[in-house]
Amino acid sequence: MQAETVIHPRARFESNMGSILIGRRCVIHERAHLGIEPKDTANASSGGVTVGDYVIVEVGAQIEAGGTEIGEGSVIQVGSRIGSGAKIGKQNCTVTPRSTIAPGEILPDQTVVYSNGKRRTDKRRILEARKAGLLRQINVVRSMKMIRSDPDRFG
Amino acid sequence: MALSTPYTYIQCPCSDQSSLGNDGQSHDQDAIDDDNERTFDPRAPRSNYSLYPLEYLLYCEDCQQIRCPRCVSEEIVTYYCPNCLFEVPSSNLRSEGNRCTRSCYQCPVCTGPVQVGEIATDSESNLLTAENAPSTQHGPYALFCQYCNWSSSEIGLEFDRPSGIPSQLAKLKNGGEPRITARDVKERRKENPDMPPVPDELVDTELQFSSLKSFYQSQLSGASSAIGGLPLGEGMGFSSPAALSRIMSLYTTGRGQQGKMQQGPPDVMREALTTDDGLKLAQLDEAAAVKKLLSGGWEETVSKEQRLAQLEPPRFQDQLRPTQCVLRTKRSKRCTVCRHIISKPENKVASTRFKIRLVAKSYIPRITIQPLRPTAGVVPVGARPEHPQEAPLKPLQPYQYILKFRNPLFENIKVTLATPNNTPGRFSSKVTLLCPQFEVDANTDMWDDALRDDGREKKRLGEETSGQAEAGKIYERGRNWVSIILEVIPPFLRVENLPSKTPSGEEMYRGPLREDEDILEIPMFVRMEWEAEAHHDMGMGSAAGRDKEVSEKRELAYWCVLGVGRISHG
Repeated sequence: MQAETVIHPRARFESNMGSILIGRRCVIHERAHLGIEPKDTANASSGGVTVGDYVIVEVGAQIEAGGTEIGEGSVIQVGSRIGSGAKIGKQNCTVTPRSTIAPGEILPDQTVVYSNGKRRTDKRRILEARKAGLLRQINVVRSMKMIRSDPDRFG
Repeated sequence: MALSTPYTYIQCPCSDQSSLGNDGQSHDQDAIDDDNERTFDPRAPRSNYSLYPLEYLLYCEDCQQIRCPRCVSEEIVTYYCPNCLFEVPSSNLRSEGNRCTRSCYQCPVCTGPVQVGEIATDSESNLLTAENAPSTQHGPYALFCQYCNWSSSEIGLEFDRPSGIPSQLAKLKNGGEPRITARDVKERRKENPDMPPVPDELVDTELQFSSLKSFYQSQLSGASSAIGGLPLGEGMGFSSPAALSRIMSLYTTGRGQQGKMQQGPPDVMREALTTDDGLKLAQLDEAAAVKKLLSGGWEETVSKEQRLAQLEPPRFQDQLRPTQCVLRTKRSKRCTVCRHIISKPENKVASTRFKIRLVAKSYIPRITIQPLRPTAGVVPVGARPEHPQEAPLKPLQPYQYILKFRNPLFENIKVTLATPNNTPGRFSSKVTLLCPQFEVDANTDMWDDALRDDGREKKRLGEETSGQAEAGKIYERGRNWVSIILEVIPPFLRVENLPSKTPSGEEMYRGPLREDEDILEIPMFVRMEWEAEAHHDMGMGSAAGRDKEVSEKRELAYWCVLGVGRISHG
């Protein structure tokens, strides 16, 4: 887990299948579950989960292990389920709430997955603004003196 | 027929034919008897439309009958926009249509709500680090979809002000150019009378419609305004000189020319000739569209749902425009027979409560069915609300179910049940009700019950509630509920074992199992009797004049269907 990342309580990280790498300035919300065992263990590849910088993983998202990659600046919204080995592009990919990404799917950059798996290219260029917003959010959390950051305890 | 077994459905009597047959003279007495005797067949295609779960049914107090969604008439209470929750008076509907006129738009791609936002450019990120910059930027505004991140910049629409979107949208085409309206054309014509008509490609449907409409109006009125023919649609002005002369001519020329107003459309009318009149030739040269399709690919085209929602059928994604939200209604329901209001929501849009709400749940007992020995395990708390899935029933083995009746009324009710011995359908199971007649206590408060406990304890002694399944006895009793046992023996689902003829003498259908034929459904006739305090009107006879509340016996009877479970094959 790299620097300046905020992990909310009750997030779960499992490294049974492989290691988990979280980038800088990410926010992982409550009840997110990274590294779940994929259902189809026979076909799953080995490897863990790699999460890029500036990624937001929202409440209740489930990311399966097995070489899954989440590109920089993406948002995995509430309750989504990312299958094993899926690769989500960089630059502002959005996975809308409760969507499912099948195992092994490759999402190009700047794509929005919505509705029943429909996809669109997102032409907004708000990545910089999003990064700045994330930075401010992390600073606010850091300045809340009640929350102690204890990286050693969590390894 | 249902998603999850077990279930109970209730039949609304509005589809019952026997009530209609009793009105007049019936030639066929047997037919009437037959109707009453015939058991309700839940598998008949007709009954599919009259079975409802208890939550869907309403109850009319005047008629003392169940009412289903099919036999109530609805009236509209208010119209409102689901996006901004603004109540639209019904007079506005005629003039402005059934859509919200207050900047409530739907994303054309995903039909989610769109919000007006500023377009932030990259340079702004530096501004954000500055302290206290509550900037009222005058940057261009655009519509942003909350769900799929579509923005109106993708079709080239950007606005100057964040408010008044409808007027700004009407003036702009996709791509930012101003739209040509009929008024524009007229003004240009005034300035420049020699201007040729607008070329066909630039005419969109709105312009075409308005010019065609005005053209036909002028045609119908004969275009001979010298005689005083008023254009259609304009009101009768009482003060214009043309109107005065018209009225005078009505009085003076009575026999002669039958009045100019009755002239009607002239005999010879011409059709539209140019785009000024509203003619738009079909654009047959689609080379540009094909080229765009080739370069854009599948993603550039518009899906069927997206196209249906648009005013002008587009082909490509950048021809989509955000649509206005359709207004919704709040409706009140009325009994068709006695015109009594059954359900009436509050007038305020924001409140979900009801002023009047007469639902069947508070008048007829609630029936639930559970297996006596459940095979499915208990669902852990984390996985709820999953229903425990029962194993399918094995043929030729008796299964027992607990049928629980919960009484919502404030009086005791006496319930009588009846089911046919064999369920209708090709594969019939044997059904036995162990206790077809019983009484359920009133739905009193818990405190009342506790206070009156001493007296009530002895009351039920005559009827021993057995905890086991015994014929003639109820299974368990509670404050306002009673449960009994129902035994079922499902049949073999083999087509070969079927007899060759049905009981009514027709040839048995020997095809393979139809869909849902393996679901065990039991039609049950429920009849309840209770004593109610009838509130008579003041105009009743003098005998009842003294006490306005006389107990009278009331009864209600209906069919219901219990879906028990699936029978296993093989």
